[in-house]
Amino acid sequence: MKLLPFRSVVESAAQGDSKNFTGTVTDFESLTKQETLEQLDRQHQGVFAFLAFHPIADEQVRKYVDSGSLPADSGRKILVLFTVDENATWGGSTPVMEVPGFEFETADHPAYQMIRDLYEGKVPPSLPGILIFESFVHTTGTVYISLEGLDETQVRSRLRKIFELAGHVYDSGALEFAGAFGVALTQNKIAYLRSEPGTLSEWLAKAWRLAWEKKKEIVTMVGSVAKAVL
Amino acid sequence: MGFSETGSLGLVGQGLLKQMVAMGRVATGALPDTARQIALTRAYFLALEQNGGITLDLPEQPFVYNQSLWAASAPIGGYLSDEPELRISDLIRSFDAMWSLHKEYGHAMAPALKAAAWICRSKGFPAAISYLFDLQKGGYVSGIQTLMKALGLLIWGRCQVEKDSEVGAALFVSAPTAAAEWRSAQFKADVGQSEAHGPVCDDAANLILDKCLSEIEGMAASRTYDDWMLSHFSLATMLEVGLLMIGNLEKKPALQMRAALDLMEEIMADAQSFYAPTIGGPLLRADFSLARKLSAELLAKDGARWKAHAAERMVLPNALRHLMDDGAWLSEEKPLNLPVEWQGLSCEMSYPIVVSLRGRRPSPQTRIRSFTPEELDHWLQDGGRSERQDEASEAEVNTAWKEAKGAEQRGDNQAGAAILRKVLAAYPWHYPCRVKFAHFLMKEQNFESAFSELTKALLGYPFDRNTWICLEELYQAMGMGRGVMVARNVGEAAARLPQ
Repeated sequence: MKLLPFRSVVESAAQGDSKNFTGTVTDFESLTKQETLEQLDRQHQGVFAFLAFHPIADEQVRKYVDSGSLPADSGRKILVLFTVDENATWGGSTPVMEVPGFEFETADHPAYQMIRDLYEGKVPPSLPGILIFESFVHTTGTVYISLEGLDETQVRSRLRKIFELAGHVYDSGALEFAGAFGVALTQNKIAYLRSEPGTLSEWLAKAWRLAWEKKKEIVTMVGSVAKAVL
Repeated sequence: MGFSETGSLGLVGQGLLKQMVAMGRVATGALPDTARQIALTRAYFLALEQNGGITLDLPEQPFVYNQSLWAASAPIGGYLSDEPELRISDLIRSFDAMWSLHKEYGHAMAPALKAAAWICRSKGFPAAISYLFDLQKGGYVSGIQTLMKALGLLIWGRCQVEKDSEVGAALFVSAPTAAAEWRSAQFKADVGQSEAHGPVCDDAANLILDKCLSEIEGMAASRTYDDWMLSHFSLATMLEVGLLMIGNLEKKPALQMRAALDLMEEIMADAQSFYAPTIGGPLLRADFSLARKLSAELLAKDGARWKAHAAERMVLPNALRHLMDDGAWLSEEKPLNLPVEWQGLSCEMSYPIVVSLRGRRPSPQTRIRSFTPEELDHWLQDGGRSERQDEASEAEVNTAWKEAKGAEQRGDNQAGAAILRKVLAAYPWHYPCRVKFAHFLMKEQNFESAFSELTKALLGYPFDRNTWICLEELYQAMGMGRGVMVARNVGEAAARLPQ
């Protein structure tokens, strides 16, 4: 398993068959433009997830991510994003461990802030947790499931269940993903929080800015096989 | 830390073996005539084995069997760390066997596949995939053909059976069990004739992706220019194979995998660009001009975020990332303040890389066989084409050499050493000067430094008997009988080789 910047994923979605020396997206801001994100939605045949955790305070989630089974657990239909220290991209055996000396204030971690931004004006959801949504451009509801209070094994089994259900709901072709996914979660006795329907492109632009300001990178993980799961 | 006989003999041996690995890694097709290198390296390890043996610290170096010499019970593939009994002199024959197959058939698929299937049976499918790539990194296979064919058939074989341990039944006429049977097993006639499909293919694509990304990480962790350059050669091949194989296995890769493949493709192109100019241009001295050009392009595109993008593209190894903070990095003409291990290839790596890259054994016509100051231009020319091979540099070394000889005649060892130290700082690959420098250090009883210089000279050009005699004298002076015997045996073997 390896970390890949989400920026690279968006670039790949945006570029067709043509390639040039430094990629196709010629300026950084264009990554969050409507047409770029439409391409991303179109080319990713599945749903998106944002795993919000603090690498030190939420050690149980970090350990799960470090174990490397996330890509195999989530499968190809669920593109899971999370934040790491910007120097950790292509990092070694502990990819999400942050540089010591930073990150004392858990409340300031951009991953936390990104979730709070989404639920602004409401009771802030408990963290860590995972946000699932269908699209970056179309009006969509999001579903947030808290992972608070779970140990590493419980985090693993809860996330696997969530990914499995999300995959099934996506495959069923439900007209409104968030609603159908919520029903599936309820049937499995998993509590969740819905957001008001809206588009997530502005949220993404803000999340990226926030991450970079704090010297973080939004990444996804690739390259693990189901057999290798611990 | 004192000077030890065993430690010093091990260092030379390790260096010679690394040279074999480098020759294989750098070659892109059939290797040049490597008979001399194989003969000399084997002579060294035979001499060591006859004089007490040696254990080398190369845990990641794989081995692959060669039929003529392997013990019947020995595993036919694995890593040196798993088989401490394996004689390195036999291992050297494996390079010979594999390189000969490349020369004759353009690939060495059969032994590579058999060894990988053996590993699949004993250690599992992921280990077998990884092992095949490690064979390339270990210097046994050149070009992409061996890897492509062996990976394709291994994956096909694994798709036909339920368990990793059953892969032999899919590939061979009668499923072998013992190592000896495995070696002589015949491939089935219909191996690879049907299409491979199913979850094993998905696993294989992810395993190959993971291996390729690990190698990119490995390149980022390079600690010397030697490592950095060798990684580029390996990566160019491995990523090409990885991209082709994954393309075959995953007709519609998920977006996240496609993004990883896009990045791999960019890094592969960068790796190929990195060494392409060196074939006809500067080679021994570090060249970061392409990295600087790419950095400037990324700055223009990404603005303040360019360094993060440059890091993903492996523009620089982790050890040199700080250079990107220096304003000089983006002004191509400005000199870089590089640590000494990043200024160019070491003596140890200059010889195998030059030989493999130029695709031929150096001959008197290509002028690397230059032992005297009068022939200095030869060394400079082949040791570093366009690396200050002007008349002034020739005169500079000639003058220094004459002055050093004068100092030797006067018995002024310190003055002689000082003259040569200075000239070697400017021309580090000039091995005759280095041998002479070692002589001066020996006379001053500075044996540890003398050995260090002699090792550089020996590995810079291992075929000169006089250098081995010098090593023999050094061990003699230190009263180390085993070292004396080894150096003498290898010196005699060197004298018998065609020069």
